[in-house]
Amino acid sequence: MDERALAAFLDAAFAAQAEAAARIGTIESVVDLGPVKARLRTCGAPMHRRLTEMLVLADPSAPDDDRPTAELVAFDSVTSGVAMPRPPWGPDAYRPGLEVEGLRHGRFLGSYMVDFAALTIYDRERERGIYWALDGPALFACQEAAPLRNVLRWIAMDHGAHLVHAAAVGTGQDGVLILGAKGAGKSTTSLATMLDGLAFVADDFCLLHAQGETWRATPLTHTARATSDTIALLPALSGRITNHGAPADHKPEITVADHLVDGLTIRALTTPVRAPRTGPARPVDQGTFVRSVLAGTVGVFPGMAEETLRMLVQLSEELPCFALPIGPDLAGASTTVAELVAAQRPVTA
Amino acid sequence: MNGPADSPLVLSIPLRAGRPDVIDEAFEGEVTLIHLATGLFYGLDASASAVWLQVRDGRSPSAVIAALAAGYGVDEATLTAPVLAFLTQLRDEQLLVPTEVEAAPVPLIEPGAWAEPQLQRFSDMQDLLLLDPVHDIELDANGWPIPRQQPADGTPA
Repeated sequence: MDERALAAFLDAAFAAQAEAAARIGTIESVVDLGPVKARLRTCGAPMHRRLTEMLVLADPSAPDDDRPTAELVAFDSVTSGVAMPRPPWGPDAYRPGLEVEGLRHGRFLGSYMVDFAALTIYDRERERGIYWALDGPALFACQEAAPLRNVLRWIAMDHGAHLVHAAAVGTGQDGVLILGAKGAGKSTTSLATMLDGLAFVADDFCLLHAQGETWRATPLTHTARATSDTIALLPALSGRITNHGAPADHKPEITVADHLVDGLTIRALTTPVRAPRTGPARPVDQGTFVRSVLAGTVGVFPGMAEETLRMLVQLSEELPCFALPIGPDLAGASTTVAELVAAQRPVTA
Repeated sequence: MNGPADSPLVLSIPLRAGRPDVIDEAFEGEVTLIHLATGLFYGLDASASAVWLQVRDGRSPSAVIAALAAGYGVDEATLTAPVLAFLTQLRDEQLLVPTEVEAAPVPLIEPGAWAEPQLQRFSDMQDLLLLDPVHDIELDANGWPIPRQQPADGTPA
């Protein structure tokens, strides 16, 4: 797709957002992505709530530090009465996985969610992006964990950080990433350990950035999601459900704010494997590990797939890889994780 | 042309990786390939990885065979059939596409013993992508796709 056409479209989209902002005002929020921040200005309270209700937000009035800041704006047409300009790409550009042909790599990245008529487009050169939905109040935050996830991931990647499809839990300052496809057991395992008192960063998606020689995982959201099967296995989660009355096809949202830690230094990569009973983590070779988590790590995000694959391989080269045998006796999961963290924690003099 | 699936490869026509849909990464001496459009990913053994690294930037089958023969110390006649079969498999999986440009030769890194190239095919990611198809859509007044509306009587639109 012609880069000038995309740049012109983005200019028109920003002009539409400015008109929406003039009509209904904006609410500002900041997301801390580690080495970079994202400053979001959303038109109207309903859209703001939908976009940010699950995110861990920084204080927008905090003084600027020396970290770069990407600028995001958001509006919806139903609340603001402002239409999004016509797209410069044709109807054949929409691909599986929310991708739009021409917006998968390069200067402009984008995704489009047909069910909600919601567009994300980001100009990596100017570090500016826009999120637009036809009907903001109709967006369900649970649908995507956080609707801004894709653009936050692109921003993070351009600054050496990553938004990874992984749970992160641990003890003290150290933890493990739990990777795997949807349904692999990331949420069940991580929430079981959280109920046992382990430090919790995420059950599904977390931020990851280099910190010296190590990797640090930090939370993106203060809410987890669990299936009814997970809640049946972990009934203590019932009291933490925040979205009672949501449509039946929406997963229960679980507040984890009281267990959330600022971050964990990651000491190992893990993936749950179903087993007759929960037992000690067992090492797996790099190739086996990468292939077992590849689909769930690379296949869930639109755009920048090559960089995500490279990140996964790099992580697996730098960190030991383990399988977590998880059986119905979930009470053992916290012991499995705690023992692994203790074994991988560097010995200090 | 080395184009249509099921047609024989022409030794002199270069092939290259089907970018941008095809991405690859090498680790532990083996290459993993992902075809983003089909959702399939592939594990290549050491010999298969050597073939891939020779061809991915644009090399003719004959140039690949010559490079492998020199690197592995195996005569070209021995390599021709298995390498052509493997390149054909890669082409038929849409991992390789024909190109007009022959890239510069790539040195073989620590070639071990030659064995027939093996390609493992995984469909986990395909299942994942198929969970999220591009739905039956129509365009709204401003050209944005929305799910196709069903008539009130429930008959297909």
